Amino acid sequence: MDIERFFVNYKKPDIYFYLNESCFKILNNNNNEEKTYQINSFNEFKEILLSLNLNSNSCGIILNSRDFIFNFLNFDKLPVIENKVKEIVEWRLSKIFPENLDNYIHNYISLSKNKILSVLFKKEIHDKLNELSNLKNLRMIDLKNTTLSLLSKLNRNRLSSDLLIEIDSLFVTMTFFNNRVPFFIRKFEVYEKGEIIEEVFKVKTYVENNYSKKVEKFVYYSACDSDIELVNDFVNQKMTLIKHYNSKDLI
Amino acid sequence: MILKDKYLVNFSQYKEIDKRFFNFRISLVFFISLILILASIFLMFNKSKAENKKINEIREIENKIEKIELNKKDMEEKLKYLKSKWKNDVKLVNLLMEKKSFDYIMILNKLENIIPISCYINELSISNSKKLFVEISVIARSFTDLLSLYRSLAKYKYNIKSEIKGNNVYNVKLELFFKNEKK
Repeated sequence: MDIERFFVNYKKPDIYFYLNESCFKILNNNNNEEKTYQINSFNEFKEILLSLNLNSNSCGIILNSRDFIFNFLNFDKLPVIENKVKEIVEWRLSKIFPENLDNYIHNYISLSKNKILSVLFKKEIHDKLNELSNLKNLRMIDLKNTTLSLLSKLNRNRLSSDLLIEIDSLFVTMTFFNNRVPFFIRKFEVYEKGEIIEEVFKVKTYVENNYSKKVEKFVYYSACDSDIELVNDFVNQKMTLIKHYNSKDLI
Repeated sequence: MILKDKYLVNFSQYKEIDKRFFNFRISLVFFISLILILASIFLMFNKSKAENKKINEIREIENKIEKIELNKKDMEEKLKYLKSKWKNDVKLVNLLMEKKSFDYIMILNKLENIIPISCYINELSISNSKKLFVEISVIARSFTDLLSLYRSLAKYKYNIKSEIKGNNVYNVKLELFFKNEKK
C-alpha cells in the first residue's frame, strides 16, 4: 500500500463539478475559478451540464456525504498484506451491513494499526454520473466526497480540531476527532435551518458523554454562501473556530 | 509530501494514473539508487586503498619480525656454544676447587690437638675424596693412655680398624672422619 501510494497518483481533472443540496458549482482546477448554478433536482443539473460549453475531456465530481456510508471498524490485529486487509474488512462489513455489498463501491482508510474507516458509495449513483459525463464526452476520472476531501485538507494543514461541521443547506455532516484522527461521523438532515444548532449540540453532547472527549475547537465548512451565517451561532455557543473552509478548498 | 494523502480516496472506476508523477517518482528512486551505488563504489575504492596501505604496513612488520627471529636464532646458537664452552670451564673449575678442597695443615693441626701427649702416631694416610677421612695408627704406652685417646676422639666420628696389645704397648688403627671444610 505504501509503495503504491509512493508511486501511484491519480490524474486530477481540469474541472470539477461540485454537486450539493441547493446548487452545483463548476470548480476550475487550473485557475481556481468557480461558477455557481442554482438547481433543485438532478435533472436540472443534467440539463445545465449538457448546455454548457466546456473545453475539457475529463472531469471530476464532488458530492456531499449523503450517498456515502461511513463505518468505523476496530480489529484486534490487521494483516500486513493489502489484499488480506481488504478481504477482512469486507468480511466484517458483510456481517454488519444489511444490504448487498456488490451494489456499493468500497474503499477504506487505515486510521491506525487496528482501526479502519470504511466508506461505501452506491454503484448506481456512480453509473448515473458516469453516464451523464459520457453524454458530455467527458471522462469522469475523479469522484470525491466532501468529508474525505476536508479530512485530507485538515491533515495536510496539520490542523488539530475536535470537530468538523459541514453545512450543506439543511444537510449536516459532523466528524469528531481525537488527536487528528476521526473517530465518529454523524450525518443528518433537518427540516428548517433553525434546527441545525440544536441538533449539532445534541450530537456534541452525545459524543462528549459517550467518548469522554471534550469538544471545543471546530472547523466549519459551508457549501454555499447562504450557509456561512450559521458559523456565528456556533461561536456564540462558546466554541472556538479554527478554520472556515468553502468549496474552493475541496480541490 | 512523500506519500500520497490517505484521505484522498477516488471512487471513480475510470481513474487515470498520473504518468508524470509516476515517472518523476521512478526517476527519483533511480537517481537515489544511482547516488547510493556510486557512493558505495567510492567507499569501497577508498576502503580498498586503506586496506592496501594496512596490508603493506603489516607486511613490513612481518619482515621485521622475520629478521628479528633470524637474529634470535643466531643469538641462541651463539649462546648455546658459549654455554657449552662455559660448562666445560665450570666443570674444570669445580674439579679444581674439589681437588683443592682439603686443607692438610688444618688436619695435621687438629690431629696434634686430638692425640694426647702420651700417645704418638705411627702411620698416617689422608684420603682426598668426597668422604674425607684420615687413617692413622696410634701407639699408646698404657691402657690409661689408650682410654684418654678414645676420650679425646669422642667428638669425632671414627672407626676402630684394629687394636693390638704388645709389650705394655697398644697399637690402634683408626679411621677418623673430618668435615670437608672447603674454603
